[in-house]
Amino acid sequence: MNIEAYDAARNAIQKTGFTPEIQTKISLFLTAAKNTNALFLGAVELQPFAGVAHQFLHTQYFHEMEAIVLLTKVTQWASNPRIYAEAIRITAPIWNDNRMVPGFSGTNSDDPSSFYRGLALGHALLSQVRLTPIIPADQDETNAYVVALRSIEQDNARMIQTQINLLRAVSPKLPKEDGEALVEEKQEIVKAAFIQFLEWLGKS
Amino acid sequence: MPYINIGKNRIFYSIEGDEGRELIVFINGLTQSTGLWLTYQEQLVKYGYRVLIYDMPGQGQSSKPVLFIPLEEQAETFIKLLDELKIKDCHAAGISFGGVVGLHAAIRYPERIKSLIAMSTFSEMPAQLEMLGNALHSAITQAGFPLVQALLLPMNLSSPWLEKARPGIMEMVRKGYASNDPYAVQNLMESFVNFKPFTDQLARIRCPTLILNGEFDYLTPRDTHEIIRRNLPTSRLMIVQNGFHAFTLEMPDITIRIVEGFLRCVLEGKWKGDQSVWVASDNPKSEVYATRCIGDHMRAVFLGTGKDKQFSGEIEEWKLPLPGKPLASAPKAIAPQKAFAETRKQTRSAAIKAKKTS
Repeated sequence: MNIEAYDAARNAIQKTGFTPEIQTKISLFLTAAKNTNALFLGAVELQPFAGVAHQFLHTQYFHEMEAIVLLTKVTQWASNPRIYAEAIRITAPIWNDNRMVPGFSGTNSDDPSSFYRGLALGHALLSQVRLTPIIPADQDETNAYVVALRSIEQDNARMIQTQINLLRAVSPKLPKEDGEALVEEKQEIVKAAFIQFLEWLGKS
Repeated sequence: MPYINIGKNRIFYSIEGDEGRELIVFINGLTQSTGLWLTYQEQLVKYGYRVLIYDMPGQGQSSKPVLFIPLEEQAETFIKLLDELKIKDCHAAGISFGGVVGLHAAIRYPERIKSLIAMSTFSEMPAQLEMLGNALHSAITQAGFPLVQALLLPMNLSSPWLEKARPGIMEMVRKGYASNDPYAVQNLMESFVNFKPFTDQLARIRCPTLILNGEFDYLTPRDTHEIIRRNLPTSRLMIVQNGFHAFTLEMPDITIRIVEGFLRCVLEGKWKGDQSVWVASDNPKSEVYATRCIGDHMRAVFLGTGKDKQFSGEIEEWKLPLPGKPLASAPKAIAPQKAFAETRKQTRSAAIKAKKTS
């Protein structure tokens, strides 16, 4: 990950604290990430199968929803419409990638890699979007917004275990190398968007 | 920054020192990256060596295989890196996870490894190490990488070092978290799920091998190194005084002195792989490189035995009768306050006597 981008974001927050503008930027990106994963998980909810994998994905779906609700509650939303417009631009590649997962977005669920793609996107979102390094060292740790960020990040570390285990175990008739390549592709998409987001935060 | 593609992985490396010099390769521990060897690279290049450092797949700036990183492939990657760089053979030094990779390479590619330094490492997992590994794995899967960092720091480093580094530790942890991909670290950890003990293959290593073990290494204590020493005929075990698991980070000056001394011995043909045990000098500027370990090197406390000539007749013995034997004189039933006053009186008169004598 790009340390310079992290440092710039952290330094910006150190100067001003978690202003409504900064909170809005973070929450818009984070909710986009959570919503994208939840869309796939929600689609899985509708699939006609039930098993251990379903149970884990079902649980994760509600955890993602909880995170979104938590952010909605703790964020002091800014009124500047340009922030929202820019957030849409930055998160567009992630939203765009969501079209590749099966379910109500209409892709062909006979494609053996479609379920894998959804899991891979979730894996990338849960692993690449790490926000605690932007929290300044002298930040009040009891600040509600900081508490929420830390809590979401810790939950991500637990949730990603579902993706890691299913990506290894699921056999979507994909050769191992193809599976790896798919996962790596999603990592790159999310990483690029996340670095752009950090740079945007650094300019706050 | 130089990268080389090996299979589907992009490997980050750095090589310094003129071609034709003796080359030593440093192999990282689990959560390390090349940055931690930069001092070593700089110093050893000054001393006339060529130094190669690299990030294994899953580490630092190299590719992060997302799902699978077989442990066995790490030694192959190391050798393929040498191939790509047109390096026929080398000296290798690996710590912890990197020590395992170094040992694997020396077993499977003996013609490529001229000498080996195996630091804070193991060839099989005693129960304690296995359980610690499991605990760290639980930490990363249930609470995330920051907890692993929080556990590894005090596990692998000494209090004096931590105390000195305290003001910068939070930033160090933050950078470590931001620059490592936790899933890749988890993959590296999980590559040990299929770990096969290879102690029975150690005898196949023919090159001079120095085994380095920190005196107070908690993660890989003396016994894991002792197993290697006993089974590797060309080895010597050296204990690094006051060293913890990550002594290469804590005491680079001493470790560089040890590494350079070892290479010197090997290159001058003076290496004796006699499975003896030594204690490294704690002064990197001393000509005394190490002293032979006397007593039982497996013990945490030093035990002088009758065989140690330099200690015979000098070891003070504190003798007390065994329990159950009658007291030399009947106990005096005195009040605690009086006993305290009595003790103070005795201490004071002893101090006055000592002052007069001096």
